[in-house]
Amino acid sequence: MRKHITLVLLIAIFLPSLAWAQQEGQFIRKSVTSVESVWMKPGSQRGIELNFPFFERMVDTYIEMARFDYNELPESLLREFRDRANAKTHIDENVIARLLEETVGAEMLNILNDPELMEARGLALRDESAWQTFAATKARSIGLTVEELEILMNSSYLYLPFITRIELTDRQPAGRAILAEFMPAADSDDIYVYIDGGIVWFSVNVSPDGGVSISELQSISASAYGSQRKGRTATFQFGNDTWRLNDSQYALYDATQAWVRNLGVATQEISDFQLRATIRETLPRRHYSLDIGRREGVYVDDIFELFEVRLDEVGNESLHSVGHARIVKVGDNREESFQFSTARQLMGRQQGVGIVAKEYPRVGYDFRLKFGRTTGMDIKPAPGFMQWLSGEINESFDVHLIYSYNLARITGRSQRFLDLDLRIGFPIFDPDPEFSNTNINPILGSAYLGYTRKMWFTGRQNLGISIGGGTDMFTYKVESLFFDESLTLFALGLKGNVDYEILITPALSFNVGAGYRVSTEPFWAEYKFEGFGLNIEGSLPANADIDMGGVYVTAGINYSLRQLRFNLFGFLDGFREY
Amino acid sequence: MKRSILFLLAFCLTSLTALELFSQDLPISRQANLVERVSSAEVMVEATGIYISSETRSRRIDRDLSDNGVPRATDDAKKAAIWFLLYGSTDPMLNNQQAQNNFRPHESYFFDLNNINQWITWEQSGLQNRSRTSDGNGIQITKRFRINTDMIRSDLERFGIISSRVELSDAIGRPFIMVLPQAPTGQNPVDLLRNETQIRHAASVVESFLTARRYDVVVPEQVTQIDDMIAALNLVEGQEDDYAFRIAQQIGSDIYITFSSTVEDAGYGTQRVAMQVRAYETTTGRLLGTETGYSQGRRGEVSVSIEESMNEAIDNVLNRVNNYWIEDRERGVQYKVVLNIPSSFDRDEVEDIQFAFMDAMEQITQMARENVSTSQTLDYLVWVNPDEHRNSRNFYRELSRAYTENGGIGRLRSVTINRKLLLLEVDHD
Repeated sequence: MRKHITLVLLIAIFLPSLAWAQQEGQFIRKSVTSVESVWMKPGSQRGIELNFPFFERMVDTYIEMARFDYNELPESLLREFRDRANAKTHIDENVIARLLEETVGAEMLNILNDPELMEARGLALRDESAWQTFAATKARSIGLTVEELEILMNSSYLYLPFITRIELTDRQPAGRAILAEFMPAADSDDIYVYIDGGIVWFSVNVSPDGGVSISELQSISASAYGSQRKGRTATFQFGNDTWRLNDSQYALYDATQAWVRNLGVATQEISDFQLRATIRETLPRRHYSLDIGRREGVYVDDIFELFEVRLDEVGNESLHSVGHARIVKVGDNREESFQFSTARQLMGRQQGVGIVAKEYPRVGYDFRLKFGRTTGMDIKPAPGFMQWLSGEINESFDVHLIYSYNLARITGRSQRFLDLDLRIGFPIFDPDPEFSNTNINPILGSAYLGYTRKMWFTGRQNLGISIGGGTDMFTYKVESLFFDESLTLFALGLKGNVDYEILITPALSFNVGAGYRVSTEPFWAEYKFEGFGLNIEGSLPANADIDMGGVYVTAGINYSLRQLRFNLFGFLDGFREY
Repeated sequence: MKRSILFLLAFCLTSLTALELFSQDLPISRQANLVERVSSAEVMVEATGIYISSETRSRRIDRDLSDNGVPRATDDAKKAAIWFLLYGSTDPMLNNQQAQNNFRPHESYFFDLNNINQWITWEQSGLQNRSRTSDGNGIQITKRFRINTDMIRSDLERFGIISSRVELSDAIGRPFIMVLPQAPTGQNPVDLLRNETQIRHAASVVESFLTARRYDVVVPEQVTQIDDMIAALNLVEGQEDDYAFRIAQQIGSDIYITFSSTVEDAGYGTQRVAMQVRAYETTTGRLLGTETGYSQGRRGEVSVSIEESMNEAIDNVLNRVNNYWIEDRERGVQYKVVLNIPSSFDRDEVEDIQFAFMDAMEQITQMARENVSTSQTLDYLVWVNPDEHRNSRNFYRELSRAYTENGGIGRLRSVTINRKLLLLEVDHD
């Protein structure tokens, strides 16, 4: 008797925790419905309006992810919702939730009760033990049980995007203004569109008696901006689609894409929508099989945080982070659920089967900030040219700003990046003693497009090999008592470098590297000299000897971004396949 | 003295080693629960297994748990599942002290993983749960297994731990079980069985379980002439309105099982079936076991829910029936004997008849218990030696002879004789 009581108690303690743990390591597909409207908060529109068709296209790409099942509401109900929302003098999330309940609530129940949808979602919900029960084996029943229905009926969501600011302006964003301070070439006559806003997610709850209630789940927000040169008409590309747009529309599209992409990442961060998996197998060299794949929209290089469930002495369970892993191969589980994805552990000690993995969403861009030094440059003064310089410029202190776009989602291959490398170099030089009191600020700059491949040789260390090509720039302006001289020149360049990187956190790593840059003869220059009775304005003097190439070493950090406020290489997102 | 100390040391060492080996067979975890009875031979059990690392350093513990944690904890979970079936469930296989004592010498066989793996017909490839426990030194996993209980039972019987069903059948015969639905007062259950598809389906599930376990079973769909007997059986007190009881007595089953189901709303448009199964001793109407099984709530598919709920309920009831049968058969074969004394006998004659009948009973039965004694009726429950009286007809003949030998007035005549009931009356010569 005592044994039985103990057992009953153990089971009573154990069962709820089991359900909890199961939920932690299993992703349940969500049913998502769009209200197909955007809530414009009062005073949000300043000089430009949202382009709804393009916005919808971006929502399809970034918000309506493979992890969701989508449903459409009848247009009549959507119209009723919009009309009633517009008629309200005061509107907030709670008011919208009530309106949704009143207008689309009943239809949501119909959608959820759709037999085909229900069967598809229900079967995806089942674990292997459900196929071993009496009902599934002898009775050959695939009907859903009440527990399954309860999950399905309460894993349905509605979303409504909102905008708090959409503004057309010529005011530069802070970062770009700072860059323009150092590199006049970066300063341009652009117009900008800023978008601030987000998405309110509502959860639909169906009670056992069929009552529908809708409540706010979470409100997420993001900001972005887009730009275009004033007056310029350009082609905006997204995948294979192109749009010929004027300056303001181009900037709007640019901003819209960056904004919705950021909202997509913020959506992935919502606990209900976070992908979850369980380690099903341990493979050699700290690789694991995760029971998740293409069906849920997993991509190569997606990062998952590994958690271990721990029991304290009184039986309370809690999740403890035990490391991170990166997807290196995505299993195609759309037809065969046993096709697992392979992940490689980045950080933490080696783990075993049953460890819970949770998505660690990133936007797909890395930002690198590196400080370094270039040696081997050869910038020499010549008679009548750069007289302020004593000796030569052979070295510079450099600051590199590198944005890396992860190509894994396009190529299906892990850790390949498209880089935009911006460098500002501060030459190390000795001014001629006559110019010791003159303010001389020569600047070197580079803008390179490159390709990086990172090869991970232990969990947290990698060697990155990069190649790139672009332009180098050298500029200075001297205003002395004797003369005024300025020069801006551009040369083509090629570079190759190797970086050693070690992870500090899954998103942040420290790196050191070395490389070599080859720079051609300047292909464009603007030289001005006024003094000593001369007034020269033209190209580079013939006796000038400038070589901006050389060996460089760098040290810095690499941060895998959560959000990126502007749209860099955004057209590539349209080619995402893997 | 020196030799004694050495002997003592050797003894202690051997005992400790034996104890260690002994304890290695048993699971660390005793956590398990029955998920479902999948069929008459198989159950699905969810069991927890534990592995505690013997390493002391944190890094080595992690390594050990990473390499060995889940496989070793899975082994423990398998053992825990078997332990649960043997000792832990509501109706465990080792359901009495004798069986448990018999089991102990064979523990190592039953907790040997090679054997356990033969009984497991399906093992979940993933885990239900995995957690770090014991201050981080151990790992605990939960997994589901489908286990063939018939194979375990067969091995238990082979080792003589529990009585073999076949041997038992040979020795004391198989119980004859009747299955009927529980009918509302005044309604004939046979009519329900004939007319209601779902009730017939439920009966067939019970039938399937009973035949799989080699019981003799009858679902009295075709029983006729029930009504003819009712008046006679009304003599039996206590169950006047219970059709099933009367039918069982008429058929002469040892045990009769009734079932009733209710369909309740389980939410989200689903219905759940609750199946109540009761087993009775035919002779007395004593309740031997009752259990309620519940199906999953589902939309439609009532037949699936009926069978699912019946699977849950019937197994436990049959375990109790089996236990009853074994215990009861140790006392002999049970009969209900009802003697009707016509009113044409005067009071002295009635008394003589009663005394002679009582003496005859005591003479030829192993045990007799008087239920009712009136001037017109004697109602007895008796246990007779099956070797001496192989069937009810033989017992009647012996009883009749003993009655006459004990000076009984008139002759004993049989009104009805079946496997369990002898309805007699005294006839004038």
